[in-house]
Amino acid sequence: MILEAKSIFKTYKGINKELTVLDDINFTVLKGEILSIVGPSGSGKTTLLGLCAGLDHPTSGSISLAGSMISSLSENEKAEVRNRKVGFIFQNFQLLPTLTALENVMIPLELQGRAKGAKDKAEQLLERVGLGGRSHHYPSQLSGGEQQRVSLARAFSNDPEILFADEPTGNLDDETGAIVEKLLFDLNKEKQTTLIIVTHDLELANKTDRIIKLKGGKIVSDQFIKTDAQI
Amino acid sequence: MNWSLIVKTAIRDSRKDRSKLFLFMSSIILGVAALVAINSFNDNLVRDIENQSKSLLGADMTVGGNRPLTESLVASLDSLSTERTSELELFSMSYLPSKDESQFVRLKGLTGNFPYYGKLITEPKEAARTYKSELAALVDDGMMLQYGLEVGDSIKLGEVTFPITGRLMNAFGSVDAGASFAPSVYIGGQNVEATNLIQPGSLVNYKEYVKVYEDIDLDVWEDDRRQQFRNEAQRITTVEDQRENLQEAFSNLNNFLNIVALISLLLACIGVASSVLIYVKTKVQSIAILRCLGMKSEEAFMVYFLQIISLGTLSVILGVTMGSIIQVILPIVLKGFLPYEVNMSMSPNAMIKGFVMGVLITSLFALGPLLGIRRVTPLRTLRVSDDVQQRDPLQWLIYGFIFITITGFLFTLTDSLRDAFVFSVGILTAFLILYGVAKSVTWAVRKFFPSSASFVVRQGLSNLYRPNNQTLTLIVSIGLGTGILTLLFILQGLILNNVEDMGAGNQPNMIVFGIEADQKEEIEDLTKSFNMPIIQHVPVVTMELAAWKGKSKKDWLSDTTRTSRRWAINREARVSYQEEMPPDDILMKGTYTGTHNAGDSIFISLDERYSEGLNVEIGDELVWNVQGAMITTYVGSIRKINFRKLESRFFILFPIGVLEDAPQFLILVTKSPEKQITANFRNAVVKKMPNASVIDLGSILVTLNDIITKVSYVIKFMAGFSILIGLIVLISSLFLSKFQRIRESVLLRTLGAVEKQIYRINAVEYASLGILSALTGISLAVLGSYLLAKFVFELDFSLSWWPILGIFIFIVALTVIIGLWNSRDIVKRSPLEILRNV
Repeated sequence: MILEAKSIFKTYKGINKELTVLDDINFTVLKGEILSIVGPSGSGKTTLLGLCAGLDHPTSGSISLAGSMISSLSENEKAEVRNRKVGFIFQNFQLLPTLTALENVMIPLELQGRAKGAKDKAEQLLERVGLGGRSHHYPSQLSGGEQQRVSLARAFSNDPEILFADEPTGNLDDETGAIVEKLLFDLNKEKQTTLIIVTHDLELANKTDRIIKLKGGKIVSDQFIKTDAQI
Repeated sequence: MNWSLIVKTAIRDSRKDRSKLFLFMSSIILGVAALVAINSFNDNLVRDIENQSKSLLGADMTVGGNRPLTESLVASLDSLSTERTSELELFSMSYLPSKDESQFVRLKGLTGNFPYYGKLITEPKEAARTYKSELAALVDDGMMLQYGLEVGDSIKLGEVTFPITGRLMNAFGSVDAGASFAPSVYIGGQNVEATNLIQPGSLVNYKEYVKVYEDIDLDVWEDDRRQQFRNEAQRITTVEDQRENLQEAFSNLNNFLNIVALISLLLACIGVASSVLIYVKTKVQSIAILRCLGMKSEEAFMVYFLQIISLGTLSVILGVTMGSIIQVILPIVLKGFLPYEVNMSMSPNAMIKGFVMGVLITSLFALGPLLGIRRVTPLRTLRVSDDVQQRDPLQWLIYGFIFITITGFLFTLTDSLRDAFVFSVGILTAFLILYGVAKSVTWAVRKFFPSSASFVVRQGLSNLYRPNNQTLTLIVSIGLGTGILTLLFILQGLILNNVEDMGAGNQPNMIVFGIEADQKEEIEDLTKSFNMPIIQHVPVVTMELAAWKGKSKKDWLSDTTRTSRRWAINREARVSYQEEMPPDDILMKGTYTGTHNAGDSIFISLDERYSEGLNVEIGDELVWNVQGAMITTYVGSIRKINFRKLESRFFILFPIGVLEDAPQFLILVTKSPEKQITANFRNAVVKKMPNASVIDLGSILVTLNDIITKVSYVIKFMAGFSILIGLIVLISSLFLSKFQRIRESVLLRTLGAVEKQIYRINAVEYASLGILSALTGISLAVLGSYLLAKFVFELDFSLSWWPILGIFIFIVALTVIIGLWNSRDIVKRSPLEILRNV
């Protein structure tokens, strides 16, 4: 088991009353599993992703991620877990605008203190996502699809145990989306990474092993589609 | 911490954004440059004063007063000195027969080998050596040039005509501005008596220049005897005193330059804080990504701290270099204002001070906004709105350090911890008021939002309170900048006005003094024959205070508990008597007694400051020694004298009926309509009454005006420096604010807003910010300058509103123009291009 969420509540203080975004969430994810979280807007998908990835802390409940009780760690300890064990892909790419594609991919390795060899690995990954010739370009010089491919390369650069993807194709056209999607699943298969995708796209969700449906901050269904990833 | 990554990330991240920090750098460069230039100049001045005070004095020590030395004092000096030179100095009219002109001069009669240090420079050279032994005069070079005199011409001083044997190219001991009013003429001391210029009422100073035995400790000698000399109204000036006098003479210039340095530095601080704040805001997303990828908060903070501190240090170094170059230009600007040439050289002290202060201020003011980086949550990668803004306790610590640093810096300028604290609290209060105004504005606009206004106005106004608004940053930075600049402007005007007022309007411009009592009618007739009015014609009797409040002067002087001031006790009183109190004086206490009847007590009127100096009140007894005769009087009234009137002012006024038979001379005050009449009248007086002297206040005012012009030039040059930094700060704040509005404006454009609408929305926002900041800043400046004028400079407070209105319009226009210039970038380029760059 790589991820376990127990009795997760997340509430925000409103002007007059408390707003419950996540309401008693419980689930576990096994190593190598490919899982999607779906649900309508405002159902709490992104909040749940943020909590599981250690970007935020729950109001109550506990989360265990890759052997660490992430809900009780300090900010710096969570940062270390993210850097060593987690990879991210965002809908809006979230590349550092002042860094070249190559430097963006190198960053997680350099954060681990693995500067030696970081460049070679980053170059290989960029080559793998088809951007070998664009490694010295800045994000503003790349198209959306290219930016997301750099983001993919960056996500896999630190050999994460688990990868969180927030609407990875949400900002891309169908054709580009399909290329990115294929790359994501291919790389995931190569690296044997656990993958959690937050998406609206049921077609994409149906390509995963398991779908958790959220509504009004609660899990309304947790359905296993395949026993083994067959993409 | 992963230092190599921190350094690498800091360099990489700054690559594309260095231009955003250009304005941050320029405010530091200029602020530090001003500080270094001013400190270098001050250091050079102090060093030169140190080096030159001996040669400016011309001797180890001088002893002087308005009476000759007594025998016991001469004996005391003889035990000390290897050589002595006596000087007799008096102000008198001179007549230039070859030009038929007359001029008020400072006449110096010298015997002995003065100067002992430095050289009396004359043209021809040998004139300096020979003038004392023959009938000869050395005349100030400026006066020679003014009247077109040549060596070989003559000058009539009193009853003797002297051939001019040399031009006087330098002078000793004359560092006061008064030297400009009366040019110096040197003659041999033995020739003074023959001129017959020393009469009752003549302004005569006696001075001894002393060269001291090398093994004598002058400070110890002076400490032992200063009292003895003071009791005889003689003043000792040593090289050390001269140095202090020189420093005193320059203290106002120093103070002003120091204020400019402080203002420049404060403006630079605002520039640093506001540009770093906005820079950090533009970096929040990058910080969130780095945090998301596993960078610790301290590491993320360090990345940007390193960027800022390295660029800051580089700017400080550039500032130090620029300041060192400027200080070479300063003496050219100040030329003519200084009594001698100041040798400019690099001042390591000023450079180190500027560097340390620059780095300290940059770090502290940048740390405030930079600390916020530690609070940037990685969740921002998912949601922009999840940015929790909590007050960081460390930030309060930084604010505390900033307060201590500014107080410390002010302490080095003022030497008074209390003043430094009061000034710092003043600056803090101004900041808090601006903060309050910004907060009130965002609250008020939201609360009383004009829902029925047009789309453009609603958009523009809502920008004032929407998330990521720049209301606080811009109101505080523009307001503080405007406030400081306006304060400087108002104070400069007040100082100049107060001096210029002396020469303004229908003031008298000529004073004749030294008129003997039997020449009263003659001088009045002469004045009338020139069609000039007799504004004042009053008698003057010199006397000395012998006793007061039942104790003799000697007893008072040896009384260690006395509160009366020495200057008031030892003053040679020049007293007048008149029936009516001068109309411009203000009666503070008691009743003015104009006439004395035989047998009654004599009630006199004293000036407020003099009565305070002497510590006497209404009814107290004062006994005067009027050239041997003792007169007992009582304080009948206390007046406040209007010193800005250019008439004779008397600290002590007697009623008529007491002093009429005492030895006295007269002073006549008149007004000449034009220069030619002034010259003719002056010549007529010199010919008929060689004992009388005519002071042409007109020419003094011209000289004074010259000095004022030079001072105001210096003030304007240095203030210009501050204004330049202020403008750069304003512009930098506004330019950087563009990054706040760019996404909104681009979205509006994408949604179909036309060029005009974008411009108008921004115009409404920037105009509101400009008006509010300028109004608050100007109000603070008016309040601040009133308090400074009243409690620090002791000046009459008045405001001229037109220039202030000008400043207001300028600031608002500048804010709007830069705001619109920022929008230009958005309007002219495609939204996609900009969206990709954001």
